[in-house]
Amino acid sequence: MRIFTFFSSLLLIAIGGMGYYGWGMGGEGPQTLVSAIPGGFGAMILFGGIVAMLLRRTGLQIAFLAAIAGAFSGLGRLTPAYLSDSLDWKSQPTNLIVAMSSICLLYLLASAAAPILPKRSRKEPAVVGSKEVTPESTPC
Amino acid sequence: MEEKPTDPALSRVEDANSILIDGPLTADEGAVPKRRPLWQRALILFLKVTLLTPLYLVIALAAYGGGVGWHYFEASANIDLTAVERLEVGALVRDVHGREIGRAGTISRLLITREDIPLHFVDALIAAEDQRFYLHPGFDPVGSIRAAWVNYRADAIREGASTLTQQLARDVYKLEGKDAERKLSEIAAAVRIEQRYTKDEIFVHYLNRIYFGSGFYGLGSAARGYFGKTPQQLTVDEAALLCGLIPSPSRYSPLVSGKLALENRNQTLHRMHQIGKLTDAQFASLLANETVVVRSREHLINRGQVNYLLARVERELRASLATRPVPIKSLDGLVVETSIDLEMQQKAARVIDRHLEEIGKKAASAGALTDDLEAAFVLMENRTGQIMVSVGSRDFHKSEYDRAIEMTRPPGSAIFPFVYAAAYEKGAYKPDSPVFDAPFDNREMGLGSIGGVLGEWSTENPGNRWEGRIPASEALRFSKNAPTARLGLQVGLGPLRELMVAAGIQSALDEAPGSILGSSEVNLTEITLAYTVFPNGGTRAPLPGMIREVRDASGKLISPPLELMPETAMSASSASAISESLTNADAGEKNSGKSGTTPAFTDAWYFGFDEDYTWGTWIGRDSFTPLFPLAFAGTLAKPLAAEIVAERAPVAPVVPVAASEKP
Repeated sequence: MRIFTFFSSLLLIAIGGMGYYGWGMGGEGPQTLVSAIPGGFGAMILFGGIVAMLLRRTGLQIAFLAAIAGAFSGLGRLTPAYLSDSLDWKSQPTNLIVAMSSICLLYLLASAAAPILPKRSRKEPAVVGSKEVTPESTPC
Repeated sequence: MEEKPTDPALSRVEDANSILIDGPLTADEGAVPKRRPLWQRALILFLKVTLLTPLYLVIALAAYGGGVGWHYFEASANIDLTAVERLEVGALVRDVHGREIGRAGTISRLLITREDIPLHFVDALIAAEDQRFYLHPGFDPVGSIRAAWVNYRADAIREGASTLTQQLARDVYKLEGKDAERKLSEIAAAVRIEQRYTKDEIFVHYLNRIYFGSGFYGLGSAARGYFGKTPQQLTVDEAALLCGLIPSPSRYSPLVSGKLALENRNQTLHRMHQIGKLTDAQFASLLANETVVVRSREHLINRGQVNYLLARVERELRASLATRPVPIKSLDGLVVETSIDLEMQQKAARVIDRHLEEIGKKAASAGALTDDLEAAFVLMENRTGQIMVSVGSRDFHKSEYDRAIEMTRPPGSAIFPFVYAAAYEKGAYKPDSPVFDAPFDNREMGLGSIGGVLGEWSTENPGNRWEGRIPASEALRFSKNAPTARLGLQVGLGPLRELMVAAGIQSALDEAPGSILGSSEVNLTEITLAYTVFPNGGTRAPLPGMIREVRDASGKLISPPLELMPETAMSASSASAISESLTNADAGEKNSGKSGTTPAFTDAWYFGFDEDYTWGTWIGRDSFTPLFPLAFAGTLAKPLAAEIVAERAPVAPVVPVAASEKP
């Protein structure tokens, strides 16, 4: 999960950079810090990932909250344009915001699924060498 | 020593003990912990659900709201922030004598600077409109929550949530309406304005723009208009009164409602006291004071007419410029010469006010209502149709409804000249043809009789006598209803309609016999125009207007030249015959005219003309209630019109625009 956290955060930072240097300088809009917002969420998730190296639960909790904020702010950013039929799917800002929201949503799903998937595996005993391992038989 | 599991599959097994969002345990985090007792696990689950779920929801909602704000903030990135300091100068409007009336397309303002604003005015405005003005970044979430709470507690709108900067943004960018999108755009623009300008600059721009009611835009104009002072000379209670009327200036203006203005002044004083800008003693003393505004009736009427004319010229000008091959949207820098005689216009408004005062007294003595009496008056040149005087309401500050062009009412017997003209044109009648003046079944016309026997109605003639056979010209001269009804029914509505359209009446004539006797509604300006056919020998003037010519800032003529293209509505002989019948027999008068009274005495009209001008007057109530019993137009509208036109000047010859100057 931590690897996925780092991966997601770096992707978001890259999107923020593209927003700031890409669409701002590409003439699609002013080069403001607003266009680097995806990078801000990436930085927060990255911070969560770093904290998680020391305090796993706390760090992942921070990353999770940052992902919620990133996903929903992206949705909020797109909704008014969508409702007014002015959403341009081909524009770079729209694509970057869709990418930001998608990555954050994916991260949220992964975070939610992470504890569930292993529970299934508990019912399907893992195989260690030639010997079946169950939680009960795990060495303490 | 116990071995720690190193196999990945084994670590996944350990993950089974982690909880939501904790993520999987890693192999080096040790062995499977002991299961907690059930009550502990239940307690942890309960705490997580009750504490974390709301936290997630709050963050999601806040982020969503932030995202929406992000959209609007980005959308406002390209707004022109210099528009805040750019006040339109509008078009300079002059009257027929070259005197400046004012500026159309903008507001006549007396601009102020920061130094002109007294400290107590700042306190009053901050107290009344935006108590956290110096703290917020353009929008005020704290103020919004407080306003929402106050309004919720009061179950009414007591406080607005818009900051001064938001109000400025709304005014600059014309963000009208109350929907959420407009509000969010307004907030985004306000934030941008705050980023660009200092608080003091915003304050000054706000005060130069904001409407203070009764035609006063900006603090300078309001201070001068209401109190005859400069902003620096305003007292605390005067400042509080001005700030109190900002939420609804048209309603709270002291010239419209002294009571509401006082209530709002006291509310502002109360807020100043609440935030510590007034001591208890000052507050009590100011509450006891009466704030006196300049209420010279003549001054107000004159000023109202200027505002009315500028609004009217702007409307006419924009309509004209919009039809150009390359439409001109901004009126800035244009110079507009009009046919209006400002002095006569203001005199007409004062005469109307005085006559309505007298009519109010008559109404009161007859037991009718005395308020809401209104009148309108139009005077136009016969040859050009250009309007020299047009009064649309008794007091423009109280009612901006233009009864000269926007209102349609039944003209009553004022329509008779057109009925007779249609009969003459059809060849069925001549002025000396006999018509029959005898009781007539009212049901054929579909008009209500006025408390008389069915079969006779004589709203125009209180002492009506049946004359038997009389010449048509005499029936028109004495405004005889029964012969006119007979003659009109014989001629039919078709010819009457054709003639009225040719004469310039654009309001549709109702398909009802009552239209012959004036039950079909028309407006004052169009029927005045139609009356120009009589002095013009059967041709009507071009469509009426106030604008003679328009030049741009460089002096180049941009309006179409005045072209005299009269339209023939009837033969010269018919026009002459009608004029003959309408000649005033009164000693000393050299004009003709026709009054019009409607059944139930709801409307009193008079139309007159001489060789240069045609004029029309209407008196009535917006509510369509009777003026008072036996309110005949001949005794109400005719003397009013006579007094206004008594000092009219002969028309100067129309000088065509030089060919080289044609745009």
